[in-house]
Amino acid sequence: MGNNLLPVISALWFLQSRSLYNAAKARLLRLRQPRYLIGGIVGIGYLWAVFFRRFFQTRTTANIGGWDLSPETAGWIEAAAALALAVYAVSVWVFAGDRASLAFTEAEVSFLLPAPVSRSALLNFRLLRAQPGILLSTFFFNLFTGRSHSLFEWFSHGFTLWLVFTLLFLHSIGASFAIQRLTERGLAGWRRRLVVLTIVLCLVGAVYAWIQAAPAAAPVRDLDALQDRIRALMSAGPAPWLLAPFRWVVRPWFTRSLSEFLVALGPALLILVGHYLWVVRANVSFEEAAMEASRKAAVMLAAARSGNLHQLAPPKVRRDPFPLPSLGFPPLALLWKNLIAAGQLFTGRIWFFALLGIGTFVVTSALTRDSFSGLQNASMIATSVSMMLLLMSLFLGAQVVRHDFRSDLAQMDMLKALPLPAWQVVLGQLLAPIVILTGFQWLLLGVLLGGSLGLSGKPDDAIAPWRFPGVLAAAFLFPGINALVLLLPNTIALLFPAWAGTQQGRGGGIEVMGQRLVFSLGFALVLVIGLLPAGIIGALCWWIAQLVVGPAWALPIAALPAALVLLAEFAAGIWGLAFAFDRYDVTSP
Amino acid sequence: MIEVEGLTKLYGDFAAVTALSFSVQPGELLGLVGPNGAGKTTTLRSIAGIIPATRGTIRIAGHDLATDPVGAKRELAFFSDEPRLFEYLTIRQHLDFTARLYQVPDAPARYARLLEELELTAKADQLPGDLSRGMKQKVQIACGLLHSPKVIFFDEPLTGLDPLAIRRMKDTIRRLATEGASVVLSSHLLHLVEELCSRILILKNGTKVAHGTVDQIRSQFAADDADADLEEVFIRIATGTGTPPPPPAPPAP
Repeated sequence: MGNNLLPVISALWFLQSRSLYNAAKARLLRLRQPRYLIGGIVGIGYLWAVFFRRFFQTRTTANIGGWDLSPETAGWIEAAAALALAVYAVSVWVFAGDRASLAFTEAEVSFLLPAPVSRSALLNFRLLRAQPGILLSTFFFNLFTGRSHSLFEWFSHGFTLWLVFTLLFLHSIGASFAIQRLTERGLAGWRRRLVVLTIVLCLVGAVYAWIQAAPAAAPVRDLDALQDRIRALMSAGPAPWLLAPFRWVVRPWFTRSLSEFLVALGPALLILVGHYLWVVRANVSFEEAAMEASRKAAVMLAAARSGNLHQLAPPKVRRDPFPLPSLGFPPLALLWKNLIAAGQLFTGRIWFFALLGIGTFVVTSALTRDSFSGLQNASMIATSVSMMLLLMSLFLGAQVVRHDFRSDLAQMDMLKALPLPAWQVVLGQLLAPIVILTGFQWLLLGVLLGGSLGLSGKPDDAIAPWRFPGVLAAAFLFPGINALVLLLPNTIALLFPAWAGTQQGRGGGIEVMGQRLVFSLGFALVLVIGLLPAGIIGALCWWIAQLVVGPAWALPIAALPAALVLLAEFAAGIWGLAFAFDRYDVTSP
Repeated sequence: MIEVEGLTKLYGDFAAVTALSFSVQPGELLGLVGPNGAGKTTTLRSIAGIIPATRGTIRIAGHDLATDPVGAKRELAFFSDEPRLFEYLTIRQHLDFTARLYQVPDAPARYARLLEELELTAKADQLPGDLSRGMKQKVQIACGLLHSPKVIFFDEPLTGLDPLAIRRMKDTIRRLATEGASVVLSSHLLHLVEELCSRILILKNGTKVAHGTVDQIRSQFAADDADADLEEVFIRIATGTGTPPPPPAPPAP
């Protein structure tokens, strides 16, 4: 350690303690606002109900939730954990960039890099500053998995988790330093990755060669035989040696007494100390990379705080999604802009090829359904996946596709200055996510139809009469449902930007988690209420239509008036949102 | 061209701007100055229709901002202190986008000329992230001027620009006024205001404390110092050491 480490530690202590104190004070003070108080109560209630309540309950059975593992099971878990660590270690060397990765905050870069502090002191500062986060992760991880009975298990599990997290952190930094040195010596990029992968392949090859050379074992026909084979692999040959360091790290978790724990701790601590020395003694110039990493971290933090996680990557020049003449319906300009923001995935050429592919799949499925059994498996997978994605797009789509007011709150002064009636701005801002979600869902409906046709050769094909009408009805309804669903988060963004999690610098905390829970519940409730009129009208129309055309084809017929109701609700929503947009004050807190 | 009558902007009980009235004629360049927190940006944003005024009447090129906001906004351009561009649109796409929103009939010809004038042609297909601050400022100006506005607002237009860019920006502002636009310029750079503006409006705590030419204001607040420049006058006003303004005339019976 550098001789000026003590002042650094005292500075760190001052920084951390004051930051924590000020953050806690700010959190407590903001509880005076009802929105945070309600959020805090709900958040604490949720944490209590889900995590903490069980610690105060009397256990009804001796082993409930405990880690009362048999030695054999513990061995399996230990080996799996060691393997996971090994995979992580390899991935760090393969996927890391070519420069040292040690992110400071922008303020730290500004204050510490020009300060009279040695490089090793800076490193120690950074390593120590990671500890609150690691300790917090350890606490919560132990909480989630901590169904331990005894204080000893709490301690041994917690300590091992801390050890593992600290080692992962140290290893990623040490590896990035080593990679930078390799880069400086000409072994960069894919060449370095190739070397690492070659070494890994050689090691895996050695294990494989040992298996092949071993006395003939029983062929793997069932799970027991597979377990026997893996047990043999882990108990002899090169594999146990290769995994040994990783097993030493996780072994303290699996000890059952203090003496066992202390014995197991020795090798693990040696590895930890070795990593620490590896990092602080690496003579690598990390400052420049640290500044770049800090800038990126600041951008990511800002994007995360503003809820625009899709903007984490630097933007690229993207083609126009469609030609935009200077005269015409102005809201299309906002759609055009937001489609560009959404990315090249939504260009006309991509849609054309996607539709072509779906069409080919549908036609092939219909033509070959009786003659190619392999297609039925593909159809089954396509049908299941498209159903799942359709459901997810309905429930989560509005949270994922956010190219509307939520991604433009920082530009609200510009939107407010536009020479357009408020309803046109609102409509234009909402069009892009509606178009994207609907296009995605229609594609999925195509896949669903194709997959369903591929399965239609079966004699018990009960859904045959419902196939086309059902897909058609869904295709009619989805745009309206998407429009209605997207109104809600945008209303929240305009009426309660601080509540909606869309403004920068709002911070996190239990109260914010509680706010999100409240909003999720409110979102679901409003959605159900919003869909109710369309549901009632649709059901009524279906009942009438099925008397004439039968129950299946009554579906798309009923879907049309239901879709009109949804669009009418959307129009009313646009009107209301335009009112909110008019009154949105870009300067209000 | 710009007529402001009794503009008041309240945030709860706090008055950011109080009963502000002024007008700016075509070809006139009004400088808006005042200490930090005086209400300059709030005033600019209110008369640009970005934030709603609590009270008062604002007319832009004959359009009442309250009753015909679209008509009023079509005649104006607002340049914020920090150029706010869409990170994912190239310069050309920004101009296409603006042309559609403002329904500019001969947009391609116009923006080709603007790009040429502002030396942006070579960078037309680049994203804002690839540009310097001065270049971003130019993009903002190109977008703002595309629809030939009659009323133009500049909020701290010289922030972060290099000397060459400052010279060009000053030339642009001067030219716009010469061509007949009503220009309001808010700045802390008093020498810039003194150099460019035909009239000056000084705000303090959201209230108008002086309005007129530099000479008029000097005679009002620094009558004892004939050589006092705008900076000296401003400091006297800001610190409350200037000659007090005459009391307002009593209301007519």
